[in-house]
Amino acid sequence: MYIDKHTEKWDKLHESHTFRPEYPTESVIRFVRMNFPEADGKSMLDLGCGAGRHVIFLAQEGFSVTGIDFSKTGLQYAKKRLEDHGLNAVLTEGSILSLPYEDDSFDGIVSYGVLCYFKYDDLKTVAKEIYRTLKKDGKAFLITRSTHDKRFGKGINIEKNTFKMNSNITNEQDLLIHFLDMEEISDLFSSFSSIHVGFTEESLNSLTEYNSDYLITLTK
Amino acid sequence: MYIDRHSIKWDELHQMDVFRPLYPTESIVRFIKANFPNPANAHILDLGCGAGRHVLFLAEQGYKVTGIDFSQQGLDIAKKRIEEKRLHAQLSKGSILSLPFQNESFDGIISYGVLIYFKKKDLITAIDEIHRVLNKGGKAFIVVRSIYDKRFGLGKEIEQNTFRMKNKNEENFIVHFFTKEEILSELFTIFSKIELGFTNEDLLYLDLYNSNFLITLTK
Repeated sequence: MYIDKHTEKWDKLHESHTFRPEYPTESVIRFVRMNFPEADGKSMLDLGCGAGRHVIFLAQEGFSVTGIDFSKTGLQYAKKRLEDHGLNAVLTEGSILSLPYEDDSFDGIVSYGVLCYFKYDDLKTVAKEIYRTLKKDGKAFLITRSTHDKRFGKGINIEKNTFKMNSNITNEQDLLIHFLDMEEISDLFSSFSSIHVGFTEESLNSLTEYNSDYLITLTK
Repeated sequence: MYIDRHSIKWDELHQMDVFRPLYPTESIVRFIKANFPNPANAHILDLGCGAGRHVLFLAEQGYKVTGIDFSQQGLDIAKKRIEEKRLHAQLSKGSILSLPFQNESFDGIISYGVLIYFKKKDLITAIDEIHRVLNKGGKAFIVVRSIYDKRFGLGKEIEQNTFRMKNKNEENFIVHFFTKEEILSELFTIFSKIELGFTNEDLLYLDLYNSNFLITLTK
């Protein structure tokens, strides 16, 4: 199954330093400041938390934080970093296709660069799981690759907007990547009461080949 | 003089929480990791360091760091943060138009969102200063606003692509919005190599966004 292969690959990637970024991304910081000006122990879930850059940020800000990931190696780093900072968070090894949490558990959910690694049918399941575990009026912030990204079209076309990477320039060889378009965003998240879409595009040394992500803010 | 007015305004802005970001930006982190893999051997200057988000990052990662800014308020906050983390950095109050450093003092220079606040004549002086204090083979990373930014044109144009701003947080600031052409063929030609990237971002819109050029210069 492609997800099992992804797990093995991520376990390996987390052992390399590049895949353990320490600092939170600007867009997650802005989402949190804009929507949760007071942390007051509100409950936040980081979906696909990896080595914990945002778990640590959210814990530092005073949220009650849960992180879930399928990579044990990633979670071990997250755990160690939390301990180094004297912070607490609940870390779960599990699948985001079937979240081990009750309905209406979280005030907020963030997910950075995770949804792109799922096939469209599985994405529909993830969208349902996000909706189910979010409290009413809760907000989710999803950052995922767009069809404008430089990797789009490079690799073997598995299904619409989905490619199996066949080069290792971004260390993603053999990973399956789904690039979202606006139509899919409307379709996937239609059950939410509001959807706002922003974006971020960046390259250090090119104006034509760049990383491109959609920033999706959802309200239940 | 417009720079004196800017200085007063920044002292005020640094008193607001929003103007004291704590974490480094992703593009600076990437530039530093890609170009200076060995912190022990690199002395980095943060030009216009403000409240010290990048000074703190560089010190945490083990680089030798110098920060310069014209705002005492900004520097006071940077100093306090550095001390709280028991780190070390050299902080100077001074002007970017006349850097108080010897020729060829730094292996790397970063400047995030600073060179936009100068008129053309002063901008050219600042760039000469960057070139002067950088070691031969050294690299500078300059982040400036582009003409595609959502704030372009919000004010009175006083020189080409330079506006006296009328938007709330930047009221009366002089802001220059950069073009690709002036970066590649005019302003930085004194350097042996210019690489150009960019970042566009907005949380809620696809057609109105912050837009920066990311300029990597090699002396």
